[in-house]
Amino acid sequence: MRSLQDIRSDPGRILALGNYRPGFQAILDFDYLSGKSEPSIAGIVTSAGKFQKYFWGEKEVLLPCYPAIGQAKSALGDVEWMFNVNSGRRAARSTADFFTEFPNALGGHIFAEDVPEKDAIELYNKYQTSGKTLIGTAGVGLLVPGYLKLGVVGGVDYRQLVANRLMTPGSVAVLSASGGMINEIITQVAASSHTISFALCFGGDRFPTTTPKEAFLAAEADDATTHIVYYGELGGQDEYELADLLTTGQVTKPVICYIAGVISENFDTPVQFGHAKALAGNKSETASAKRNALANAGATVASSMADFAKAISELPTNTEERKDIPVIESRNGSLFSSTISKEGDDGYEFVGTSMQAWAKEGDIATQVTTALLGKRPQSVLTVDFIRTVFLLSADHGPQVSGALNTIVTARAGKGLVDSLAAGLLTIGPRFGGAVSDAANEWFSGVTEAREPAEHVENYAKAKKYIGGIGHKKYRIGLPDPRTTLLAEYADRLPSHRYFDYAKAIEAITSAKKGNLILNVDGHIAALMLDILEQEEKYDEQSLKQLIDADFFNALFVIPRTVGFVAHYLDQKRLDEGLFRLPDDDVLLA
Amino acid sequence: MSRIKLSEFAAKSLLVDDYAGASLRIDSLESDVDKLADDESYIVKVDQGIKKRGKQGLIVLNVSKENISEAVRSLADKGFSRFVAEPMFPHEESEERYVSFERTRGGISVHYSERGGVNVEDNPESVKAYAPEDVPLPKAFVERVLRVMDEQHLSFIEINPLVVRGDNYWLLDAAVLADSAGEYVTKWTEDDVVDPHVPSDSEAAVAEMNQNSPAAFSFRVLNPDGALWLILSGGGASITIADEAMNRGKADLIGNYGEYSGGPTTEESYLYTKHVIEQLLLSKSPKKAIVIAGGVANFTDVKKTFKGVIQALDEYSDALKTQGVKVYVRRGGPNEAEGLAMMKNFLEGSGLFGSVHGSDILLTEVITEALEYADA
Repeated sequence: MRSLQDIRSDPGRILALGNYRPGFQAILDFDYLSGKSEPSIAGIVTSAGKFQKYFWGEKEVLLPCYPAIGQAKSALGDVEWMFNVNSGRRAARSTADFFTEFPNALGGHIFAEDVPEKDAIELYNKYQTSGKTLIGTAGVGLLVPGYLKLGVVGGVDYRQLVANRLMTPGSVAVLSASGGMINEIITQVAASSHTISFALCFGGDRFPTTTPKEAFLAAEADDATTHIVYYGELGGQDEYELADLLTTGQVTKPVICYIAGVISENFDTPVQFGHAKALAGNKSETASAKRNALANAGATVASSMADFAKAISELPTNTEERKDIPVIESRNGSLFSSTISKEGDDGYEFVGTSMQAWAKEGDIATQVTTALLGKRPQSVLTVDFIRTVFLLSADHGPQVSGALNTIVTARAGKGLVDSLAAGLLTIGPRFGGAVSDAANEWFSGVTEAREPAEHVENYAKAKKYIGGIGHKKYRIGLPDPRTTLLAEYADRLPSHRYFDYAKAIEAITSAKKGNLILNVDGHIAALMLDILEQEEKYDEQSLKQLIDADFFNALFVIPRTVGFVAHYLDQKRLDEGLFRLPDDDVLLA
Repeated sequence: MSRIKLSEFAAKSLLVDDYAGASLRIDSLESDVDKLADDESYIVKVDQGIKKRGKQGLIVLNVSKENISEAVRSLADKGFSRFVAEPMFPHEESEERYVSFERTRGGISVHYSERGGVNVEDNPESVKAYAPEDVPLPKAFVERVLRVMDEQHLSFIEINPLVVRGDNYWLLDAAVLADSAGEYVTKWTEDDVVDPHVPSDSEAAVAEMNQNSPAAFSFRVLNPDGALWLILSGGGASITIADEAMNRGKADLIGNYGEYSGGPTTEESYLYTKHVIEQLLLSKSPKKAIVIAGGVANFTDVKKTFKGVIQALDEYSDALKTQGVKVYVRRGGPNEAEGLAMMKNFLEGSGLFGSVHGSDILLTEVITEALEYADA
């Protein structure tokens, strides 16, 4: 087990596996009240969301979430601890995955009950014996007052942490097989004016991954600990190892203990009590036999809870308390979260940069790209591409339906916003909205490894158009000059699997009909996917999320807004009056 | 990971290829017997995890196939419901061996004696510990047992007697403790688990709740006519509180042991309390008290769980008042103040009030107060 002194000098960061809001919140509360500058939980591995909101004092913070341990590793770098709240059947596997990704981690805590014995023994042999500190299973973890809270030990209500002075490092080590009783004992220790050096719950399972013996040796080695308070139960042979530590002088610090379960000796057949281990299979496993062994070895053995509490109250007291503990008075959850902008010391901040700084930087393409990605692009190529796309997409003539609706609305006497909205509201599956559709085509084709021929065939059978394919005027032999410009970006990328896929589709469709070429939308979608993957290092899941969020259509909506506004202003200048369709142009059927 | 007992039939089916025995239940007796071969002589045993069946007359020897049903009915008259029949295996008593395998932190530990059968109890010194590779038994047998233990999450296997002839072996009796946490991957199922204890309605209902919830529930009647009925939270606190009655020499007054923990919902807390109350109402004790107690919870919400407890107390408040039941409470943890205030308010209003305390009094003091009332 890692030395307590080392934990105090460098508590380290925690990666949480699974979902357990009250438990995670309590760790943040402990960190905040202990005066840490940031939460010790660096991230959460869960499929529930990208971020989760937690309180940091009275304010809220977002903890990043990752769908897999490997992704947490790439995003966060090294962490020191795991807090695993996965179910019993997933505990061993997810723990092994954690240590594979984080071979240098110090250890962790497994919260689950119902971890198979076989798994628990394997975990012990693989990790605890090779120097990791792995605490559990079916326990509540490790608490080092003021430094580290790894588990629900000490409570999940910050008022419990405050009441029991768990931010103040002290001198009594509390070790327990029971998760409930450890908190009961912590409360007794605090109530009788004592402070805790550390509290460790090995859990009520038969094969805990940290044994009572290991915890006792850690307490002995810890300079801050002066006394050990121990709660054990009937079942198992652990107490004989502890008695042996005392008689052989490996543990010299005074030990006060209570071994529960004498009630069991009142019954003829063994009764299984609440914890898996709590069943006396033979006489040596009874509470009485173990109490005798510990008493003979020199421990103070309480015969009742009242005796136990009395022995604890007689320890040397320590009423010192850290003076700098902040007070949490009110907590109001926010209604929504934003990572885009905030009011900082330097005025308004937009995606991490103050507005003045943006103005000084002077590049609208960089600002727009940063805004769309929610973070600074890593490559200038990304900004160049988006700039090119915008410059190419501002307007495609007054005949197209969006521009037409803007013009008709302007001529009906409406203002700028109404006319622009009329144009924007026209954007959809048949007009301008095909970039997202095309992105979805290329993405699903590539990631599902679908043959281009099969892809085309599927559409032909369903009698549907493929997004991003086809143009009214341009065809094979008469290339669209805009797509020629866009296609040059492929040459600037190390590889471009989405563009290749789109071109393979084009080869098949244009062979059938000359105008079924890869059009502007199709080019933008394919190249944007390739650029995000190659230059911005987006993984497939992140790309999928962008597609689902309609990101790709933003590449059309933003520049075309310029065109619509231009048409509106143009109509106001020309002032032609209300537009009405000539009768000849309507078929009154 | 509790260790639970599997039936002898399930144990042998896991350990022996083409096991020739059959599991017999009263309600499907005829078709169960049909599964057995015709020209054999059978041994019929009660198969409910009971030890020393021979001495208690729970085994019938040398039964022909047509007489199996009759033998089963004679055993069923003694209150049993689950049986196993298998072909008799003629052998000398001197051939009987004892062997057990147990999962320990250091690996599988084997105990073996050449003096098996009923002799092993008289000769405990003959049982020696071995590493699995050193025990003087056929290699194929040992490997098979180890493999099954691993794959089927078995924690303990005791075979006594075991008969070995050359490379062949016969398991005449086998008892197995399985690891309940492994059930999701094993061949054995909940249906193969036996308990010598016949559950009451409330016990069975709580066992089912435990099966179907991420939280933990247990309930065991210790004295059906007990005076103290315990609704306890937490594995450790519940034993500690029960110990206190023992310390005061009043263990006989305890009606039940049990606990609920692991953050049960309001609805689950309601159901659990209801089952305990239903059992309590059957007790013939002249005075009764309910003790609702637990340590200072780490994460179980006191307010949420007490809401369910109060709902059940309210539902039965007339019956409880008629029987003169008082309720004694001690609890701490998240939302302690709110939960306790709610409880106090309810108990005072309903006339069931004994006492209500938070973590300001010692966990076990609530037993003292309840005993003052119920043991008067």
